[in-house]
Amino acid sequence: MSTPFLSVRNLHVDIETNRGLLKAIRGISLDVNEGQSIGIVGESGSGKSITLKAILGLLPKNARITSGDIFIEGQSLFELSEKARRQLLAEKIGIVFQDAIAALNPVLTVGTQIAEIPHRRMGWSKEKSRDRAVELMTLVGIPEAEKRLKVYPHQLSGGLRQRVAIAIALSGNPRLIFCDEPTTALDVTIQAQVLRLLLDLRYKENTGIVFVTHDLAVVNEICQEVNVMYAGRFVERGNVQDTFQDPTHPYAYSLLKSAPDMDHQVERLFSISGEAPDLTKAFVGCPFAPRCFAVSDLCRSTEPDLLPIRTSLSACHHSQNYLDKLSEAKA
Amino acid sequence: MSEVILSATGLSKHFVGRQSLVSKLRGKEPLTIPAVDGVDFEIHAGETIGLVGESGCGKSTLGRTLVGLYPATAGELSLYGESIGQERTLEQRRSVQMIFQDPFASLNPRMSVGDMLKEILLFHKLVSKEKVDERCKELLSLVGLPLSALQSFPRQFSGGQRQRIGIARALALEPKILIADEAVSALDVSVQASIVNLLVDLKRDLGLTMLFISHNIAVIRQISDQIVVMYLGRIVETGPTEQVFADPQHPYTKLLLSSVPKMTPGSKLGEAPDGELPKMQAHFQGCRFQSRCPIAVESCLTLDPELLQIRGSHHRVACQLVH
Repeated sequence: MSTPFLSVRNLHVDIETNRGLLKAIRGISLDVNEGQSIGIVGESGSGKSITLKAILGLLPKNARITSGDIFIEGQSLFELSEKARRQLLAEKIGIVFQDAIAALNPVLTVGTQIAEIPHRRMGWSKEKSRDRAVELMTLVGIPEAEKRLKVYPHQLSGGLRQRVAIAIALSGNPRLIFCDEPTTALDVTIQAQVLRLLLDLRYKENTGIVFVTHDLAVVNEICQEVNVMYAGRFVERGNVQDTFQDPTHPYAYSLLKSAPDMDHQVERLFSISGEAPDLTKAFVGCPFAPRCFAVSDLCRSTEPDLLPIRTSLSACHHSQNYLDKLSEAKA
Repeated sequence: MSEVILSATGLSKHFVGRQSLVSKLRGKEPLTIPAVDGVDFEIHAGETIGLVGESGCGKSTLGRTLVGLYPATAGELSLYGESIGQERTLEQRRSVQMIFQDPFASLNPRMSVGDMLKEILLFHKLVSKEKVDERCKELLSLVGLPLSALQSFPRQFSGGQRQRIGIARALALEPKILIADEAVSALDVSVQASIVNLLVDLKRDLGLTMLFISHNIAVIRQISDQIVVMYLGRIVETGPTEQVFADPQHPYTKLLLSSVPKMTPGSKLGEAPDGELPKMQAHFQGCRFQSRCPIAVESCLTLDPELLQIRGSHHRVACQLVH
């Protein structure tokens, strides 16, 4: 197989908190190929956003990568100087955050912000960068782009602001866009427009997408692969169609069942008892064991690895068992 | 149909902007935002009504006007057939209670859960001093919190548990109607599921009547018997949930429902029509949705559609092209 565009190997991130050391990411690996769309789902505190931030070197001061490696097109980021690393990331990866009003600079016009990477990083002339900004704004569907170059973020609606944020993410011609809950703050109608835009970009420019969200339905509609995160690790990875049909990990199953679906009304939603473990405290065994419906003694003593099963990867001692039962129940 | 508990006729809430002295002297009209603009509806006993619409369409304003947090600008509100004046009686205030979106901001951080519940129980003289502890414990078990919660403060609870405290506080007054404004929107999906289930259980066990406001259409589908769709301060469609979801009539409802991402395996994102919620204006001419409507005709620019029944059912739509 060819080298994946982005490769993360056994990454660990610790965060210094006033309650003690929090093991936010406990050994994750991830490959993203050129043009692939990948979803990372999980509940608050599972480590989704920290994963993206760790890759981009945007971790807060109290957090640090303790081990692991990150490669872009085979080049390890940790072997580069700080300057070279930032240059490489700026050219290859763009990012869109949840809250566009916080991500955009309130005292600069949107035109200046979109033209910044072409002008500063790529050394284009002012005029050329400005033309590029107009081109990008048109691409992301901002009407009257020429006129809107001179407006400030607060003068735009939420949907348009998020489009500006996407235009900035695209301004360095990245091969991959990280999306950290980009549509969570938007109305469903605007969410559909923004998702459509991201998908069109993927088809047109073959830009890869890593989409972090807690909204399972969004991942179902726009991603090829889904990664379910729990307590700082991936517990299930598979293609979206198979995983949404027959999840192999009990947590993935519970999560999918607890989400209400617009197409079906059910008697009762499935709910997961208990809470996610406190990652500042050491624990033994599977972190999901206290909340799991298929728990056994083995789960309480040994944490399972992410292993292949069917077309997916699952970190559960009982995946095979559980799948057998599921197919029995169906038959 | 069961008894009508609350009914609104022509209910409006207009917000009037502040004006500088100069513009007052020039005799200019102040900026008016008709957040809720002539809304008629009824809530029947034991029903859960789901109120949906985009942000800025007036959902929360309507909820807050019903509770009495905002005085209505115009229109009639009545509870059990009795008109509610500007000044509500204690009994009327008790009858309509609210659960808020943010479980962190809506609880007093310096009051223990026990004190919070005792204060309202004693103020409204619902139980005697001797029995108040007992009633508090009952309420906690009703919402699935441990009895030890009585001595604890809000900060000691997780988001889902705080929302349960909010529900217990609203239920303490034995309201006739519970208004839940985005009550599960700030929660993670597994926690959201448990709160939705709790509300469904309470509805069944206590015969609770509820107005459930949310932008999350999948949750609304799960919880409501009736659905009300709002657009720019007006109700554009209302009817039994199953019927509206199976056969939406208003072009706005169609747009809204088709925009919701689905959980069905293999479902792929469809086309997303352009356009967004236009600015609120003091006066609209014609149908409010015409700027985004894919089927608008010339008469939509001038004719303000009324909310009318279709085919003798309880399904009502405000679109002249449907009737």
